[in-house]
Amino acid sequence: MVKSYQMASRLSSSGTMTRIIALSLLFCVLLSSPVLAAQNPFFSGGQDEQKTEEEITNRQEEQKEKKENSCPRLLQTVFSMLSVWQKKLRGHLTQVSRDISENPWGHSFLLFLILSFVYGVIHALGPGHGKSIVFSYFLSRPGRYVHGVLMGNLITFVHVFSAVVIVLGFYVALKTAGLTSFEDVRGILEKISYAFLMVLGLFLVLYRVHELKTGTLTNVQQYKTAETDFRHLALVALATGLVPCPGAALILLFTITLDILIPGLIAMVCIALGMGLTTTFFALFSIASRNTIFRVTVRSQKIFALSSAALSLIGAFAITIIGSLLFFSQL
Amino acid sequence: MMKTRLFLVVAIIVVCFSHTGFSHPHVFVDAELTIVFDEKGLAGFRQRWIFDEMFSSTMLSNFDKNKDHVLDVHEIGEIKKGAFNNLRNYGYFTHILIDGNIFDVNYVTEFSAGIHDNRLLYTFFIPCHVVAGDQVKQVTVSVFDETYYTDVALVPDSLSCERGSAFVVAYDIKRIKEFSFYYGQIIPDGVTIKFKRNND
Repeated sequence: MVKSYQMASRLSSSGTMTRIIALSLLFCVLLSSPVLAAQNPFFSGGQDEQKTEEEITNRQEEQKEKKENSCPRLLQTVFSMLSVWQKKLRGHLTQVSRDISENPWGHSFLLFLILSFVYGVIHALGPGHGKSIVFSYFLSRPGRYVHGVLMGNLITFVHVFSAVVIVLGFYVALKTAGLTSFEDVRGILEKISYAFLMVLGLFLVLYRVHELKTGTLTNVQQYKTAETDFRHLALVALATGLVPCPGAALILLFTITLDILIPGLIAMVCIALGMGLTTTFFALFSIASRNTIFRVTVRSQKIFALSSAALSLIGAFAITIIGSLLFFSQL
Repeated sequence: MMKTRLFLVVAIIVVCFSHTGFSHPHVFVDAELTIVFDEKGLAGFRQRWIFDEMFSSTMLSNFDKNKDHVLDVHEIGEIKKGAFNNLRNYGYFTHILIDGNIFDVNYVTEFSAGIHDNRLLYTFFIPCHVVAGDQVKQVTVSVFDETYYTDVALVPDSLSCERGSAFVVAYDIKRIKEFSFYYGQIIPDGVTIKFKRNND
């Protein structure tokens, strides 16, 4: 009892209690975050049949329920601003692309790359791009900051590279730079990605249970020397990033129509780096959160073991849940 | 103390942006709306969608088959079939409340497509018949993609109304909270129309 009181005093005096409360709230919200996946609504995605009246009514009922959820006003303003910025950036990118087609390697080219990078940063701030996954992954496992940078960038590079391969594949094979073909393939890859994430999440849950049993994540000494398994990290990044980025694809398709493919491909690298910066931020925050909890709880083996086990399982379960919800929303 | 505050701020930011999904605006549309009345009352809404140049370009590379930068009847038909009809599953992005009740948008008429300043245009009419009476009726309409794949912006200056002298009509454009979507993160602009039969 006295020990608990002393522990609580230490925590509150250093302000770390507030951090733990904030983190607990953060994890709860993370798990309750909306999971959304959207096809391009203009195309049928290979489904020629229209939805039935009943399906449309159900959708409208769902929409009615969603409307009842509220959101802080500040967040509404931020999302609105992000959308406006993206629209402006796309406008600038369009203009600069046209300038490049007249003068390929002038100032416009440099501006095009800078704008692409900024577009990547802002674009990744919107829903998606694996931020929840990367956050959950490092919640489930201790990691170094370099691992966060690696995973954040790996996800976005795969995400953009996937789009580049599809667009170029169709361009080389069929000599067309069309969005419809891209959307058809994207629909298939989405299903694969989400199924892959679901299975990987389940595997990580089992693996964490194994690690908890062997004490890797609950024994302080073993925890300190625990190394990140790069195979797991790479697989999660691959599964998450597999879905091609329509934003990047649209820009590449546009550069193809203007016959400036090489600047378009270089811009893809800039977009991936921009998105990587945003995603990395989430990875680093997750690692810092776990490190904070380690520092706070390490004085008591019991509390450390409990919190570490809880975080590991929450993180792994979060990946499973996100993968499952996304996968089943596609059926 | 400063560190704790900073931590809290960062935590809030992370929560705000860590939502999962793969649907953020990839297509940008400026929507122009015309309110249309007939002899009985409200007849519906005429819309003109102007797509962003980048999306337009990729669409046209698919549908402007002869690359003459003009869409002929056949090409418009292909666009309707390939990149418009599926919007029925999304209520053509048009959300309507009649005296607070949801009106389902299931079909459109007069669809056409064109090109203006390198931008793809859609024009169509959404029938929505509301008979005018002696009591004021209120209809609210907004245009948005609830999946947020498309960002639709109502163009306030283009808002107009085609009506005879048989009705008293007032309308304005403002943010409509009842239409908030994407888990309440976005409140779209909408038009509220109040009208009744003119007995003078």
